[in-house]
Amino acid sequence: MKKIVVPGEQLYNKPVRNESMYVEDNNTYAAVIGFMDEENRFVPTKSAYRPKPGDAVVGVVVYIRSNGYKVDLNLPFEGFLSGKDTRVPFSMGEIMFAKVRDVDEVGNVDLTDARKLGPGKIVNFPSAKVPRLIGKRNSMLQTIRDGTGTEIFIGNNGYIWLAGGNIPLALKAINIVNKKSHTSGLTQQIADFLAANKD
Amino acid sequence: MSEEVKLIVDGKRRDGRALDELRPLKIEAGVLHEADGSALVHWGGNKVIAGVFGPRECLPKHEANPYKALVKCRYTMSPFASKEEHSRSGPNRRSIEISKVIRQVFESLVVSELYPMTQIDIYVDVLQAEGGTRASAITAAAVALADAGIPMKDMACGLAVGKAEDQIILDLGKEEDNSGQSDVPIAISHRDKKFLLLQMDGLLSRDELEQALDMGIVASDKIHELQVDAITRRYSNLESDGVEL
Repeated sequence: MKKIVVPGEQLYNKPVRNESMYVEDNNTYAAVIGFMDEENRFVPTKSAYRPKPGDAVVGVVVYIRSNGYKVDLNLPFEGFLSGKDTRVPFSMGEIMFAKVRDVDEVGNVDLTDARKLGPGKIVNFPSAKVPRLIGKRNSMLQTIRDGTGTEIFIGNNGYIWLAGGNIPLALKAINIVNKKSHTSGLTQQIADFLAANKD
Repeated sequence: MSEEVKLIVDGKRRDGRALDELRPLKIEAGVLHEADGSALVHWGGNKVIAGVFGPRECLPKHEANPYKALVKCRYTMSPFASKEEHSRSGPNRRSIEISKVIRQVFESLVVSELYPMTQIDIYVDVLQAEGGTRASAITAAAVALADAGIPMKDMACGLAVGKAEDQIILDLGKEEDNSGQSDVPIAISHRDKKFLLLQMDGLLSRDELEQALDMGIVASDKIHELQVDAITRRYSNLESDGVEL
């Protein structure tokens, strides 16, 4: 097992700027719990999601205004999708897959490129582990899609949308990724798990 | 009542501890399902549980700060925490003060600039009290904040130093707190050993205070070790204790 790093522990003796670290006197210290991977990179185990322009997010329409939509993004505040940026009309409670266009200095999120997702199940996943669930070039996501026949969209904000196929099996696979996200060779493990549990 | 009880006899305290010995301390992280982060601390006769939420929407909204997240803290004592009266609900003068000092400890640690317009809530409940609950509360809250994934510049722990029978002692229990000569609760950040809390009840000379604080710094490393151990146990055993979707 890799050694767990706690806030305040020194990571590098050179400045590295990142939201899960901070720099003091040209040394870099951890700001959240995490561990060092094989390439000596700091991997946080859990940290609150901070949206960046370009992030793909899954959101739910919670309020309709004359000029656009307020969207629940699993953040302290709703994101906003301007009516100008979408030709698809949304109604309350509908789910979208969108891109973050801009985040202003107080954290207001502007969305663009919205695409409607039909009825489906939304689950919450730790946003720090989302890259692991997607895998290198979508490998993990594709493995789960192929193994279960479920349509899956993963937002960087930690919302996952699932529809069709074997959803309970897909959720089990996602749970395994959550619990074993620090281990290596995980995509193969998931592929084996799905093959073994296929009806 | 006039019968004098010696707090220290032959260098041993009433519970058999040496002058610079901590009470038995156990810390557990991630004990609550609904909180973003949590910790439970057993410290001597103290049982303190801390739960952390956030960053989340700041309420009331007019308090929100566009430059940083607000840190809020609520410390409460349960009705069965000690022999004294705690049964009336709601904050009292003592708990408001302790909530404030805990808040100030973590305001100087949390990297609040990352989450403008939001608040981070720290809730500390004392289930059982035996002297030094604010120190236990700070020790628990630091672990809970780390468990919640809230960026902090450093870990911190709380502890008490003081004086009884003209001798400097560490980690005062209830009797030493009530009948000793001085009680100094402190909070120390681990890496740079800054004092984030320093209160004093009773009197100490300057030399005595320095001696007491040095004793506290040595002990803070031991408490930090236990905090790290609690976090390590929580995060290296995710396979048995991951969050179910």
